[in-house]
Amino acid sequence: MDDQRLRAEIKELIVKELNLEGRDPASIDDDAPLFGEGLGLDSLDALQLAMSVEERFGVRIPEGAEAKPIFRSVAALAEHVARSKAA
Amino acid sequence: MRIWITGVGITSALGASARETFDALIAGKRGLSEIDLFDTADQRARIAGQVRGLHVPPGPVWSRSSALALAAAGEAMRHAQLSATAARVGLVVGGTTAGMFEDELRVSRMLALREPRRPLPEMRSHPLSSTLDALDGVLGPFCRHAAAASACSSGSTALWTAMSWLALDESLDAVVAGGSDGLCRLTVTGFNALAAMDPVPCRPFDRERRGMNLGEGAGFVVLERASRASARRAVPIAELASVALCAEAHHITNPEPSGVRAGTMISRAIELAGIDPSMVDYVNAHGTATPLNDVMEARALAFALGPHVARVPVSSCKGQLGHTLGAAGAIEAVIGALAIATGQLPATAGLGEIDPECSALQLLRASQRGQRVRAVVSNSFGFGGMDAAVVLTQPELSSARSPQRRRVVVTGGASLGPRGLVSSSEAASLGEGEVAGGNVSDVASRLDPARARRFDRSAKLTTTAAQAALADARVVDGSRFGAVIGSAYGAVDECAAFMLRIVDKGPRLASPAEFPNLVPSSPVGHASIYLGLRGPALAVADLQTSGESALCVGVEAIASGAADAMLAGACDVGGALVDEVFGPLFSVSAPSASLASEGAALLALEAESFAEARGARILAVIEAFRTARGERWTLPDPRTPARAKVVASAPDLLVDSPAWDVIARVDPTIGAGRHAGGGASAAVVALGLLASQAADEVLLVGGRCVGDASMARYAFVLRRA
Repeated sequence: MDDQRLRAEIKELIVKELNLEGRDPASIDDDAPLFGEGLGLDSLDALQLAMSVEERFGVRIPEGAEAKPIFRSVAALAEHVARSKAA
Repeated sequence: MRIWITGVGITSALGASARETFDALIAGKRGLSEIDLFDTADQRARIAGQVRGLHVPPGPVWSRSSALALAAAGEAMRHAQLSATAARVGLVVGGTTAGMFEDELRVSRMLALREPRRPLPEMRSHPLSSTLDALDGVLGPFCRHAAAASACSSGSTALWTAMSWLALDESLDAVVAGGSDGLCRLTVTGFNALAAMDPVPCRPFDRERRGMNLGEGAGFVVLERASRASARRAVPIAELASVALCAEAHHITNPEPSGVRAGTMISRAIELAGIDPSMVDYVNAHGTATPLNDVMEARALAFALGPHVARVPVSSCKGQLGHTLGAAGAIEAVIGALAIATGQLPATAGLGEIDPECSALQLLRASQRGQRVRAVVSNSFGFGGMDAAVVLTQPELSSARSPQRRRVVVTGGASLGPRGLVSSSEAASLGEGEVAGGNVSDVASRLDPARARRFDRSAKLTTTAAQAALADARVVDGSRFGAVIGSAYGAVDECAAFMLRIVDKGPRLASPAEFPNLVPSSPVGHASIYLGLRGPALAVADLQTSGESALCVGVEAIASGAADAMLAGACDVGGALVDEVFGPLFSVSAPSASLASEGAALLALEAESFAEARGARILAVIEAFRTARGERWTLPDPRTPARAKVVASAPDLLVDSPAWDVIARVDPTIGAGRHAGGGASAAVVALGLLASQAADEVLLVGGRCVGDASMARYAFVLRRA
């Protein structure tokens, strides 16, 4: 899967799983922070997203501090997914 | 009025009685072990405070939760030498899971149609109210019942409910109140999905804490007015001096981090108890060992105790008993009472190095004996930010306060049902015209989608109706309002869907976001957050009279001074299991109340003085309210029969009052549909009749069969202001 397609798929997953009704997935910036500012997501969203990524891509997101850099942005999450699938 | 605790009971992982449990706590024993009640493969954390050797009586009304409650409530009643046949005794049970353990796999199979959907008698143990019915048959008959749910503070909320009963009803001799929750797959998987569980024994307030362990159990107390208890020479163990509740109105799973809202509530509980922080000699903390809870609680205690925080010993029992969810508040109240009675204080098991962010607290590392314990504060915090603080004291520590009885007025109301959203000015029309049925079509169109994105259907309906009721009451700032919402079966279809996913995909793929929506108090929690309601918040469950039961809690909370203003009503949504299994199962003895549609309806209730102070438009006064179980009642006669109406949620219900039985009836189900919480829609129709001047006085009446002959009934007389 190429990088752009993976990022688009993750954006769709975010909108669907976190019920961001009315938000156009394409409008999510690849590098914008997902949590706090940016999309305004919180720790409960992080858990939901981690579960959905595992379900969709078969890739586990580590718990706690290790998850932070992975959840920095759509680009960072896509990179983690691509790297884990390749491994 | 003083309320004495004259009997206590606990069933826990540490013992089959309050004494055994307390002694084991003082001895530092930990009751955490590998769960063997069900398969825990693939769960992150697999230990809990499981009760071993529990006898669950045979028969369709018994669940593990009810068996735990029976043991603890029976112990408390024996301890108090109280018999429900020789006195008028009420029963309040707090909880969250009820018969989930027995039913969780079956409902998931039924939802997926892997098993036919049919009302099986053994599923009668599923609803929260089933514990009341189960206990009634063995320890009763109890003259009043209530099932109180506020997630992990349910046990404390049960004590709060019982206090208002004793404050208002002189003819009530005693109340048996407590909480009970059994372990089940749903809670173990859900808290694991939230990453809230420590796979090893938990470490409250520790720098390295990683979360909680679950537990199961029950705690009960017998509460009596001191005057009545001393007349029968009962010995007080401690006094239940106050219970304060609040909604944080912050987040569905995360506590409000500054601790100010919880701290303000603890201060209020201390004030209500008639004492000051200098008299508090022990705090039994909620102390779940989750990173967020313990820091918030340390801040809340520092806020409430002021300089005394440096003196007052604090401990959490979660590292020994596990977190027993809806039982925790009640079990910990019993521990607090025994601390006062024995001068012994348990330590915080699992605590190594104190988290610097909790260092303001005097955390006990070793249990204490021979202490003077004048007053104890016990905290409980639940999903949705539903907080409770209980204050127990030595008997007669504070000066007794005479119970106040405040007039309750209605300032607004709204009903959301098959005819859409209707406020008080048009609500009389729900009793006329073509019969309506079916589901609500424009759910959530009045809610901000971003702020309501975690809402399930119940939360959407509840919040939409609550928002309209507040608007109808012309309330700009809802922060002084609390809310009580009734539901017959809770989120049973959603629980089944959550379990089905676990069965099909494994526990790792359980949905963390859906789990908090499964507790019975989730709709009221979401509504409190969305609307900024910061008064007492809770859910109640009483099958087809869940709406009436919620109105009763709201009216009594205000009348007794426990709340200034409450939104009170009910919400029920349809679903495969509600429509095809639970509705038919519980409608056998009351066919008129079968579920045919869904809806939410609430009244805005206020203390008259509070409403007047804010310049509110008062639509009606609650002139009288009654509740009875299998007993006769007397109602005040209508003043002008020609200008009076009767609104009954069950259209064929006899009022059992000659003067009212001849009054013209309005059938609220014509426009509001038929659902279990129909009593709340009926209340809005009653308000509509008064607001539109179609009547000067309305008797709102509801009831359901509880056996072959007896009825649980509620009545409210509303008069035009």
